[in-house]
Amino acid sequence: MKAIVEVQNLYKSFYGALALNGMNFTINEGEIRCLIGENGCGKSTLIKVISGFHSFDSGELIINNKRYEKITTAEAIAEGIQVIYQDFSLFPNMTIAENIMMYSTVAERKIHVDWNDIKASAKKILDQVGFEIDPNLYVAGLSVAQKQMVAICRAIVQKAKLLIMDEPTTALTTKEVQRLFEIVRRLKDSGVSVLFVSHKLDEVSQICDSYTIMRNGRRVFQSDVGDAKITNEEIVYYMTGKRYSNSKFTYVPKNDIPAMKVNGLCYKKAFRDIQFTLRKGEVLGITGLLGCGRSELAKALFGLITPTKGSIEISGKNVGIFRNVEEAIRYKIAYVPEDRLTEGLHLDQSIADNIIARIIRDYTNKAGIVNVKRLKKKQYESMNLMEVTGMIPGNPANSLSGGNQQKIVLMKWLASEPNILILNCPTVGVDVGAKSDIHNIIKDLAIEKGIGVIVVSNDNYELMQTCNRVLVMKEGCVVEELFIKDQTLDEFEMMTERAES
Amino acid sequence: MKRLCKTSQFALFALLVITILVFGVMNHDILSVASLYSLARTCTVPAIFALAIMVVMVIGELDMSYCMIGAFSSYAVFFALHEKSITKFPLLVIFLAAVGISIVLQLLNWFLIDQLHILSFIATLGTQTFLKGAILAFVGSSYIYDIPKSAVDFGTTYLLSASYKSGVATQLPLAVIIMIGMYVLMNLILEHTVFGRKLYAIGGDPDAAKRAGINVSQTRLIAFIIVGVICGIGGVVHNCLGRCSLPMPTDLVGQELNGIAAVVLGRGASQRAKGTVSGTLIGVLLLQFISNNLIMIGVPSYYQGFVTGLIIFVGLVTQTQIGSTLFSKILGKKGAVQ
Repeated sequence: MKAIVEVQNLYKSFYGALALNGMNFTINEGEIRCLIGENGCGKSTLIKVISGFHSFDSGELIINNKRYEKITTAEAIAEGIQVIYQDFSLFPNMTIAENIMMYSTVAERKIHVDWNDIKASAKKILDQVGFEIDPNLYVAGLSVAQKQMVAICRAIVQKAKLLIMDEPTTALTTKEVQRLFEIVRRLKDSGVSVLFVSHKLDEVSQICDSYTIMRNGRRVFQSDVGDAKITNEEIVYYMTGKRYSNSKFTYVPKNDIPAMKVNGLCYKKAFRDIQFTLRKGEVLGITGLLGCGRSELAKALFGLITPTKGSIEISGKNVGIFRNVEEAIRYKIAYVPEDRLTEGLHLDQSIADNIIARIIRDYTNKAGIVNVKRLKKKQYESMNLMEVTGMIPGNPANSLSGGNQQKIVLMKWLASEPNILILNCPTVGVDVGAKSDIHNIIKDLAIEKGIGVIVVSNDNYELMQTCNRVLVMKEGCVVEELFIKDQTLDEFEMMTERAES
Repeated sequence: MKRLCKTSQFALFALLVITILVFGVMNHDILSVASLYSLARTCTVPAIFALAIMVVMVIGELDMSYCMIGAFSSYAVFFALHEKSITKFPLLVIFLAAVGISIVLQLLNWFLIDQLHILSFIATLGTQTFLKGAILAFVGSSYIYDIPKSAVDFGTTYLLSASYKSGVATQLPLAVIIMIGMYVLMNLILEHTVFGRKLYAIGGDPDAAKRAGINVSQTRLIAFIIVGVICGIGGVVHNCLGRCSLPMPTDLVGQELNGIAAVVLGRGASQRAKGTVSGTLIGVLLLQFISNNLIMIGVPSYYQGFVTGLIIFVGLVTQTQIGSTLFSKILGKKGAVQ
């Protein structure tokens, strides 16, 4: 077994903060290794050091048996190291063909650009990978999956020996993920090593031969090809350094008046004849495959889309349907959207301002002047509701990691003291530690405050952890109602799958 | 022809042709050779400056100082010659001196943008204001009446001349050759050299460019030097072509947005290419043609801004996805313009 990249005792700090704290790491020829760790553990820094984007402070970096004191991006590329970043690093203002060939064009140090050669070579690679697309299209108009394919093609042209993929599955659909895995395996067969950086445990165990787990800039676990696979619980333990208890949620009936009752709700082709009751202090899950209408239903319950038929009862009172968000808010409903980046937060605004964004209207007098003193008090109370590591209220929201951003979205909505909380895929892209925190928050809200919570998700583990009842949707209808008691995750998965098929 | 239809400049080119035809029907003089020479003459300086701002826009930045830099460097040279009462001075040296000053000033822009990471719009607005102040405070604010003979000769050497039916003569100045030469050279550099493609790469995504192994700072540095060269030449050509040959310190300032408008028109609303040489040239021709000839079709001159703005909108809309579909329907062509 020959090591392609070996890293020993590597240190790297940014403005005094240690990002890599004595990191050790090895990847061999022809293996698919997974690099796992929570946000901010130094994964990205490690990748950027190996690829020459950042310099390192001290330690050893050995690539193909050659020791580097410092390495430039051009040298890393020459050594066959290719990184596919989350943003793919493509040039939107250039065609697919030119994007694929750009690295070679730069590396060849020629003066003249041979357009015919660029187009022919790009076409050859696209055929080789089996990606059917016109190479003369501009990258700006492509979908995420297509952009990723272009980035992979570009890496292959470089005769990559090591392909590093940073969170490659984040924006892909399940089908696209499978297609990506197929290509990754094909690359491995042709002798390319792949370093797969991810925190999606189920995907990781599907594709990887070996693991490296990082925490606080250090390696805490490494397995090699052929070693027994470790369980997800162990991975979580290594990543976070904490053992998480798998305590399920138990619903204690409060009173009989339902927090929300939905009667025969329909919306175009998305869902029809939806009927369910949500009691106070209950956590109701809604699941189903992509396109089954679960997301539309969640939006309809918050007035983001107007249902075509049906009615909603709040606390026993028929309120018809919500035509806009204001109506839903009036009945004290809160909604945490799927995409917090575009729908949930004002990313450049401060965390403190984000938290009061929803309620600021309630703290004004008749002339529209804000009562700052009361607002500040409320802001302070809201922020102490849950623990967010590294939170400085004055910093912008995008200074936080994904999981902590999601907590801010929750805080913002909880500040409005809702009776009903709808969460649409609350932990997508959130790392395990924060995920567990968010689950605990959801359970506490239901138990302590008696809020009726709806969790829309396709993460079975999440549903098992947080809900007492789960509705399974298929083609716009609720086809099954499951009660979470003491089934195992496998049993639960089988039940939902049976309902979905 | 088919390939031509597919280029992003086709819609704009068609718009130019249509505009010329419409104007031509309303006043036949507009379709004369004399009118063409007049257009070429008035286009020369705006076209050179549009080329400068285009290079800046290709690398994804904006420059509000390029006209001021051109005016400053040229005026500074002529002012120095005037102060020393030199009337005989080689033209080439005048050009070189102005280009040198321009390069230094563009390097200041490069330093602010690339090294200090100041937003280019703000940084260059600063440069513009600073230079405008500096020229008034330290150099001078008056017309210069005695510019060297070589410069006067350059401005009044004509390749060809023609006259309108009314008898008014127009000439095609030598400087047009310089402008065309610069366009041909820039097209060669941007489309057919690796360096040119690096500029587009940086404009597309500077981080991605760095990851591709491009030395971003260095490439930007060379780009700003090129912009400096273009500005310097533009400034001197402007002063030589000025009918009375009277350099005035700030007379180019305020033209910045016209250059930007030409580039934006030329690249299309899709922003895909960030700017192309051929598109920019067509953009300049279109804008200049309109402002030249509006008066000839009987539109009062105070409508000029309004009509120019209207044409910019039409130019942009025809190049959007929806607009191009409509546009090609009107033209009766099936292949949508990209």
